[in-house]
Amino acid sequence: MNPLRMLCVVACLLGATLATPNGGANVHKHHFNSVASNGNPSNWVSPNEIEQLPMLKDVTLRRLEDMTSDEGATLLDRLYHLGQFNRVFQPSYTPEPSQVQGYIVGERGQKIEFNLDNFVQTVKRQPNFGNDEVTIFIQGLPQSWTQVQKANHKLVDAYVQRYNLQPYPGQQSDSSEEQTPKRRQQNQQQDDTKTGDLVVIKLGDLIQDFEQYVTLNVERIGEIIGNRLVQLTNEVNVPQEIIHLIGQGPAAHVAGIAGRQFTRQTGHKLRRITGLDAPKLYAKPESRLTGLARGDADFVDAIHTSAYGMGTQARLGDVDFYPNGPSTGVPGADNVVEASLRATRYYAESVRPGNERNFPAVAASSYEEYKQNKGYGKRAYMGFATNYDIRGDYMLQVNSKSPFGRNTPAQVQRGFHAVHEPWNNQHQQKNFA
Amino acid sequence: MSLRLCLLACLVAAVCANNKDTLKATNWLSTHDLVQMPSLNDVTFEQLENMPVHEGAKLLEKFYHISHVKQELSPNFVPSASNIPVWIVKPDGQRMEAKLNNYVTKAKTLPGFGEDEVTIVLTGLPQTTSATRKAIHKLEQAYIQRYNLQEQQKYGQSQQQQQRNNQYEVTSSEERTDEWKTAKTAAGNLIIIDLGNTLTSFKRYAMLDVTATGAMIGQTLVELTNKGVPQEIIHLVGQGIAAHVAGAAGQEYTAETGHKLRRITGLDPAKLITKNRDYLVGLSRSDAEFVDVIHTSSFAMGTPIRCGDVDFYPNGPSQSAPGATNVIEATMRATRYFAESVRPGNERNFPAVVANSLKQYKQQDGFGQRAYMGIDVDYDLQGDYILEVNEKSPFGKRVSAQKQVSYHGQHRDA
Repeated sequence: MNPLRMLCVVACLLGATLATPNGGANVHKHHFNSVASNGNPSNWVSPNEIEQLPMLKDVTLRRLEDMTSDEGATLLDRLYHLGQFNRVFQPSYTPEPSQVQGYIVGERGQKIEFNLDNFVQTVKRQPNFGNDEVTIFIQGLPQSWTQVQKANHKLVDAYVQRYNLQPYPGQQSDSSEEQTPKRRQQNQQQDDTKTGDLVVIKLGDLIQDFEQYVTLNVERIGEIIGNRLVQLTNEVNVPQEIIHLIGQGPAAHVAGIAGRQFTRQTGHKLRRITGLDAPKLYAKPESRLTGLARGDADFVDAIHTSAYGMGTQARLGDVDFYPNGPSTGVPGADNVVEASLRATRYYAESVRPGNERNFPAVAASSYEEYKQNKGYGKRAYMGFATNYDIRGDYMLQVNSKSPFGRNTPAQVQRGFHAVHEPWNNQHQQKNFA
Repeated sequence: MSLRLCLLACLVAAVCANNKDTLKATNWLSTHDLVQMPSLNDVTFEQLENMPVHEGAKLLEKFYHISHVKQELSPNFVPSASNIPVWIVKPDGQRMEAKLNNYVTKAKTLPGFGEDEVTIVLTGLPQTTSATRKAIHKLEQAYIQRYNLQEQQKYGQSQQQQQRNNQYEVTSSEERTDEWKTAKTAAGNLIIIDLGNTLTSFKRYAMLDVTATGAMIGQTLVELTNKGVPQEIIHLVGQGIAAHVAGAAGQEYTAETGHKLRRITGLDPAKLITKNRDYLVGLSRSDAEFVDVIHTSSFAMGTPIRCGDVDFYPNGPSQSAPGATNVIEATMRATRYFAESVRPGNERNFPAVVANSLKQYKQQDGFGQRAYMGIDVDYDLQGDYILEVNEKSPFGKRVSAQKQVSYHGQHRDA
């Protein structure tokens, strides 16, 4: 075919779709299932759709907040995939350690501030640090955005409660997930020594826009944090088997790399790393494996709440939870950012004493499988109390408002023994010929 | 009039495309690029075999990413059970022919079937390309040697000659070693499910519904174990796209019986060009009790995504393997390495160390346990391993992996 003519045909299509912005997408959808055209990449995405993609610096969190989950997810999917094969995104954004602020929550609930340069010295000055559990929560989104602040606050608050880092009776509860049974509160009043340490690293505050989000050099920051942890275990005598890293968004990958760095230096593994809706890795170092992965700690668990939005549907941990199945978002979340933050909200809810079993999940490969009671295998509880022995992919249902956990037994599982014995009947029903 | 509109539209497109801002998507993929891309219908495996590696790799990456932009392209090809050829390899090296819908029954007629190990290989490409033919042949021969070693050691060289398929000469030096004479013996049965045979076009390959196909195969495994073959002795080996089929088969097996297969090995699991959005698809940890994976073309036909409990990346995650001249050869290298390790005496040919990149491995920055990639990999392992390999057979470097950084120097004594 005459190249000029080909170009004209494409341009005409372009012209036609420019006239009807949304009509273009429908036209292409219509052709999808026709045999002749669905093998053709220019039918999978049109030149117009590429034209209409905004520049990276125009994709702000604010903008994503204004779109529906589906719109936001479509935009992010396109940016991600189209940017991959020419290696457009480079992991070039490396904040200085001194810029990364954080705080340790003291025994009276006070915030003791530090930055990544003086982190270990600051910890050294805390009495009784590292006697029970040490949870390090690395935030991944900026607190200048209200939703982020709220989600982070919930998580910190939940740990403050669990670790007795505040005299009882304590805080204001504005969500029903925080109403703990009275009996539990009385017990805690008797025993007000802390049962764990909470450290918060505010990496998210240095991720102001989407461009920084996608170009964050997770390797470098992860290495730095990993090195600090080595110092921590060496100089402050904190055993690594009590350390739990929790990474939110891109900080989930940072946490994974910190874990690997720690192991590289010491030969030991951290106890647990939890990823709260880790994103797709837009920018990857060349010829190198990166990002959160099984093996980064003794136990790695990941919660995916926006697999096709800001998050990723790829399995990252020993166990991966997909509330609502792999999708663009979760019930009640109006946009991709809110959906991503739900992982933090669900986890926070599970941390509150008494809520450990709020999120029963069942092994399944899709939400449909879960709903049709086709989920098989052990039950698992997503969140704080996840059993370290479980492995695989888990699905569950969640509410659209707090309390998010359904708090009822997971859909009754198909009994194995019921199936295994009369396998003949089951087998004959299926006909693959 | 329409020509004028055409030209105007062209101008508009040209102006937009000329935007030098690298943060704009039109600079990542131009209209020209998009229009130039062949349709799935037009690509053949022969073409891929004849393209230089980087060209083939680029084409595959484009198909993969463009298809996933909206992920509306769903897989729809499921071969029928009566069309999938299956070879049950007898102790004398001869093949008993069957199909997916009857191989279990036929296999059970073999004396001693299922008493030791049962290895089921799922092929992932049609044997129309020489690299594929050779790789599958090597794997088959390696298992024949492995499972009949006792016989061979008893009768020496002559028996080995008889068992070799006379069509093929000894073409690789991995077969000339003498280790087999004193190596440990293992007994077992080999079954080859030639799924690759049904992938008669690149389009079928791209549109293969790995979940449904795997479920179909998983059902035959249920049949197999119900006929008395214990699942702990079943080892599924999936090549390329069939690695994902193997994973799905493992899942289906567990869904039906509550038990897991012992082991699934993925030989360069493929990029999945088409996928159903609502399902988690692809080989992954927990599809069997132990899942090990070898990646030899992470940025071409294969995927860099971790698929197992342990993932090996010979030469680090890259487009191709040393010595491979096209993407088919590159993806088949995983089969070649694994086959080499299967040969008695070669189990430790591929020492690897925990690392994230070839660079790290070379800088002796590898840490953690040593692992041997291939048949004898330790089932307790978890993580990513890197190693170096040779361009030609024997591929394993056999020398100790780079000396590990001693971490006791860093860690304070308790």
